[in-house]
Amino acid sequence: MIAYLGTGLLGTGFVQKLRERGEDVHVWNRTAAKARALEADGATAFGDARDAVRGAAQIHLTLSDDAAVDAVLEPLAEVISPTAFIIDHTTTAPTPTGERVARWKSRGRNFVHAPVFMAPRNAREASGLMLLSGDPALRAAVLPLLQPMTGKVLDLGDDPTRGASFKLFGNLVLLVMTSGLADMFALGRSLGIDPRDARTLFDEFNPGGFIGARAKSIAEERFQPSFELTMARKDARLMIEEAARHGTTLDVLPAVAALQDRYIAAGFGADDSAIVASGRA
Amino acid sequence: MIAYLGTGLLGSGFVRKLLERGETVRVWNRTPEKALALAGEGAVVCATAAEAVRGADQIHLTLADDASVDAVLEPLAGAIGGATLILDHTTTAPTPTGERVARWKQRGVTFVHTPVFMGPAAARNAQGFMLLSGAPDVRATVTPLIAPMTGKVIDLGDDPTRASAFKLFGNMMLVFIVSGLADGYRFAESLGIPATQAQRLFDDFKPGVSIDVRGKAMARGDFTPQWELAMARKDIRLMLEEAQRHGVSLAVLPAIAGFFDTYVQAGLGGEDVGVVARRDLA
Repeated sequence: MIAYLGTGLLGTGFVQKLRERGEDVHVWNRTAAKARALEADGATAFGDARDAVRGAAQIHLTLSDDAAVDAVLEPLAEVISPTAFIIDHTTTAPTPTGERVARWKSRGRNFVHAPVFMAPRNAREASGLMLLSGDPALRAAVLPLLQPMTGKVLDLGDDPTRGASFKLFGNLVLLVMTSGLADMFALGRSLGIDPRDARTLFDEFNPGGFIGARAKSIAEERFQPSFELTMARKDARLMIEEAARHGTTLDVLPAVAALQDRYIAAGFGADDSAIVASGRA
Repeated sequence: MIAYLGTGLLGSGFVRKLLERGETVRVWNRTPEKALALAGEGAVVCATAAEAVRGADQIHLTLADDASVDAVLEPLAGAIGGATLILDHTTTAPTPTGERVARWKQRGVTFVHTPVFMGPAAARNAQGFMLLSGAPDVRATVTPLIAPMTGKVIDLGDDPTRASAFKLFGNMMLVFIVSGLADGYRFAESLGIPATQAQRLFDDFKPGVSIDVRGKAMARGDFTPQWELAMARKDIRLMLEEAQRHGVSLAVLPAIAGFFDTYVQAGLGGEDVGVVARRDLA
């Protein structure tokens, strides 16, 4: 039997997939209605997490943060079997994740952090990416349990905080891009260009396609100028000025410009604009 | 004969390709060394822009910005005849670009703005994208001239400022991508993960897909939660807290946190994170 704690958008998708695979699933959620909604899929909803996890061979979690994980799990320590696997898919921070892994290990319990790059639909369809790191024996034991839940399990090695680090690294890049889209649409609107029109650019030219190659060239410290930093800074100025002409303020671009300024002041203006990711200034 | 004004990284690539195609090219650059470097490849190096454009059928420019385009072109107004086409590949701003197009039109000279998504290598090898917008007859005349210079000409219609707007859209995403990698790598390094290791995540995780997928949803105003704003804001807090534990400060993320807070405070925490594209908050 599998216990699932935290049936928000992602947890609900996971539970529905587990049910489709014929698993017996006990569900609990802080807001009880979200757990009860899964009874239609054949899950058993519990009002108390303690009842949900009793006798479970696997306990999965998708909660909100470190504090929520500890608030839910800590009171359950003696109810959870030493043979059970506690598998936490919550996006948590590396340092408290490491402390949590150590704490459960000292209790003789199997806690592993396996955060995901999966939208609700991915959870429902078992597609996307799941990260896994931690003790080798524990990874070997949970890997076959996780594989049917996702498109690919990315093994990040022995350090149990590695999954948390890579998950936040990926989310950071995603959120900066989302902010870029927001500022781009704001600039477009200021010029009377509907966002649906503006985004047609990506049908031809999608800068997102370069992220991997760009990330690699930066990591390998190749800053041969293709798009000089001073030119990129000038373009940022044009965007900010143009938006201002139409009474629009861009929200995040000024912080990007400030980062560029720091590197220009440090003498990197003639390098490629990617130099700002070098950590040299 | 073609005159090329501004032979920096991009201009040099374009000139080399034009010469390879057998064109006669006169070049001028504010810093003469960069123009002189092209003499060995058969370009005619001119000491002044006026000398370079005299009798030219086409004048191409890749300069720095609106001010430099006007500073170079305006003094040449008397020397450029109605039979000459001015093609400006400089990344300039929409409003001054529109004014520039109108000004040259009044003088009876066709000025068209065709900025590019092309690096120096793409200019040298006629790859990448060139944007084009303006009057239909102008576009029809210019298209066959610029098609051999690039991989694809993207026609953006009649509004002559459209190309400059779309060029800025693309560059906006490019500068955000490197800024995201900047903060991402500082974050990873704070945790003892060097950039060379962190970048391997992109072998499997493709954040660029979200520019297309989330970008589409944001553009049509569909904020059905895939990743709730409140959860994304929580992740930013985790990133900032974790970086701080290791004494590292991030450059762009704090501004994003403040930006997202506005939307959370407006009661939109349960919507998809893409809701930050809304501009109709009270």
